[in-house]
Amino acid sequence: MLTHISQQNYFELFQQPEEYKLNLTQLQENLRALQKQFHPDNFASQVQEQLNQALAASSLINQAYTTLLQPLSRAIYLLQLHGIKLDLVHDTKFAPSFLFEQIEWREQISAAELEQDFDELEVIEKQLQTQSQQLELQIEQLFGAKNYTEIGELVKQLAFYSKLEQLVSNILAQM
Amino acid sequence: MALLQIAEPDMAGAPHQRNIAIGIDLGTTNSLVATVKSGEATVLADIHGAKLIPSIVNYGSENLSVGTPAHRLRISDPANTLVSIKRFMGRSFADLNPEVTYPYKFVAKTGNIQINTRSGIKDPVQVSADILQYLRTVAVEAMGEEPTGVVITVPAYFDDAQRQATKHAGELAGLNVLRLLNEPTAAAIAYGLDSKNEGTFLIYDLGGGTLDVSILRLAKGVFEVLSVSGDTSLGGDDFDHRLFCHILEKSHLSQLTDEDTAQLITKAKLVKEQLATLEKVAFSAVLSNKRIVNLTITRSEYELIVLNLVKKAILPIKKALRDAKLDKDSIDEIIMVGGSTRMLAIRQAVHEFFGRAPLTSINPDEVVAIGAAIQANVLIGNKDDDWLLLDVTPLSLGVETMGGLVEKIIPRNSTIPVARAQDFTTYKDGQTAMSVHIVQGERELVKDCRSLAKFTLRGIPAMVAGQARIRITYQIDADGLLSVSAKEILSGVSSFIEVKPSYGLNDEQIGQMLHDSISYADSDMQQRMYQEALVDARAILESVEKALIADAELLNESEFTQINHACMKLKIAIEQKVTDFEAASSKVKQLVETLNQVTSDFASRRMDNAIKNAFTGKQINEIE
Repeated sequence: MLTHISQQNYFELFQQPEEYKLNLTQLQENLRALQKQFHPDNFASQVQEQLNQALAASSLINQAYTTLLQPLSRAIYLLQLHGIKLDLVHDTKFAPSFLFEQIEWREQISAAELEQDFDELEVIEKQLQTQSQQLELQIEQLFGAKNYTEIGELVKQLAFYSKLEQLVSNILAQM
Repeated sequence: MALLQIAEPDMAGAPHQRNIAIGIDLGTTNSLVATVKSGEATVLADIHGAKLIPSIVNYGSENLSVGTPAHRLRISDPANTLVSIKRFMGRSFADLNPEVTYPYKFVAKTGNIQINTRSGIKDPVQVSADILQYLRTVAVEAMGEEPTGVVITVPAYFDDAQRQATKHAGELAGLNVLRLLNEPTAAAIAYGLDSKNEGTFLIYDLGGGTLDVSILRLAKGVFEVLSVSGDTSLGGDDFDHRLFCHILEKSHLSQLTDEDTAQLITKAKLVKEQLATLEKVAFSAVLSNKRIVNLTITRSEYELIVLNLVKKAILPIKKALRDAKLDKDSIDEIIMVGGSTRMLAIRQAVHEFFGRAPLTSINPDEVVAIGAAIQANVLIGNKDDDWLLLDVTPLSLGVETMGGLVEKIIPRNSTIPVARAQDFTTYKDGQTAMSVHIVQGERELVKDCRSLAKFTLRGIPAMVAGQARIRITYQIDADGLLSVSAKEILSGVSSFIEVKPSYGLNDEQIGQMLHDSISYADSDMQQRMYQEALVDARAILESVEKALIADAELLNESEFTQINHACMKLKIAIEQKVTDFEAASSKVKQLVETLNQVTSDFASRRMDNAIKNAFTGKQINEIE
């Protein structure tokens, strides 16, 4: 059973169509159904080997779920299934205007952090979320039109915003 | 609290063959042990009639006492009566609040916490084990036999070091620790199964030493933790201490003996508890210099002096909501757990934050132990009800990279179990070893995070710098504990890693540990490796034998023979007298590997079989 699971891609595992647009409720329901079968707690009184398999299966299911749940990782994964592998770490080609925007955002965040301005940081957080949502909509349209090459650029931008959101979230969490 | 009547399943097997599971709430101030009897969970009382057993150990010259008798010795023998030991678990001296002085004789004011008592040096794990041992005897007295397994609860916000320490304590007390369960989750189980409510709940758990805020979703028999936040050094004890300081100021007291301090803190605690129901309380004490302390504390006076603590106690609610991406109106019910939530100031603060009253009708003292007992019952195979628990890891896991930075591998609030892999490479030609430092926490710099483990990966095949592909896999299991494995991908070499927990140690001590492990005499090391190989071999033999008894029909004749044959060879190998430890371990490891290989299909088939039967509605343990 374990080999069977690891041979399916994440969409197949969760019985979801291989699309960007996702039925979140269905995804969550399927997570519960899958973990009900495979979670180690179900095998607590069984032999170590089965426990180990359950641990591996359960971890894989959690990983698949997290990948599909987040818009950014879902996009990257879906591109991967279509043979496009993004190198977000090393590919740093961006339009200068986009880079300038990023620098501005970072300066805003630094300033707010220095002032320990909680409210300002929350405002920035909301603005970043709006930007991300717009990108996600565009990505959804391009996936629908099967325009995979252009999606890569947008995903790179989404990754940037994701990082900024993380940064703000971490600063807020420590305040 | 009236609990759900869970019917006994139709099972062959007389009642006395049923395994007994217990749940233990190992609290900062009080501990409880509970069990599930005839489908109902109950908290057990000790011979003094106490269900809430003080988490206090007194070390006498002849023997030790735990609980109520130890509590009585607190004021007269403060140096040997250890209280709130949970605050020391998995911590080093540097972690402690410098404002608080303890009457204990610490061995050193650096490194691991060790206390000199009348009956020798004790560390927190030993002390907790003594408490757990006591709870175990309470269970044995009540049930008439040893428990098969135990679930011990821990604060959800406990890090890996604190969890490991708790697990060690359980093992030291001779208990079979089935699971470390997060306290708010335990409370949610007890509440959820009893009320049968579905929705999104926030558990606010303020105990003697720790605060946990946990947001869970209960739906269709699945308890899913969405986020966790908290403070592992904020609890009722801190409120006691603040009141104690206030009393000292008000009475112009200074330079007290340890006995006086113990008396005043104990009485301050009582005053705090009484202020939950009274507007003002009288405080009086006679000190060892015959000085009399007499004053009145009013509730408003108390609330003023603890104002900052209350503010601190609300912060984690905001963090938990943010991490769960919820606003406060999305919470269906706010559930108060832990003795310290009886404080009016806390209840009012929570009420103010949410704009509505929290639920205070469940027993805040017992609910965690009850939940633990219910979970323990499930884990030993008495699956009386159909529900599942999905918990999360509370802190981000990261690895140290160049410049003392942290690279996060597993983010906080990831659902467990979870596994991540990371690829590394060598930076020098011919490099055959690599050091990895794993930390836990949210900060950018390593020095600001909790150091979990440093390990050295050896045996990397010598290559040109940057060629090797070393994959390190981090696994956080259902207890929230970390295990690490590594493999060099190109050569397939799976190197043996010894993970040395580095909590509580400074860099010098860690360096010494690593140095010591390298300079073990060669033969000592080999003998140790042989012992370890033996332990592995015995474990796998036992589990294969059990599997053959249960599911032999899943194998055909030749497979059965093959497995038996492999078992025999291994058995013979481990019985042999050894002169060359290196050769012997190598042989045993090889035979273990062979046995693993020939039983791998069998294990998959057993799993398939179990799942098939789960689908058709049969219980797994009915097949055995």
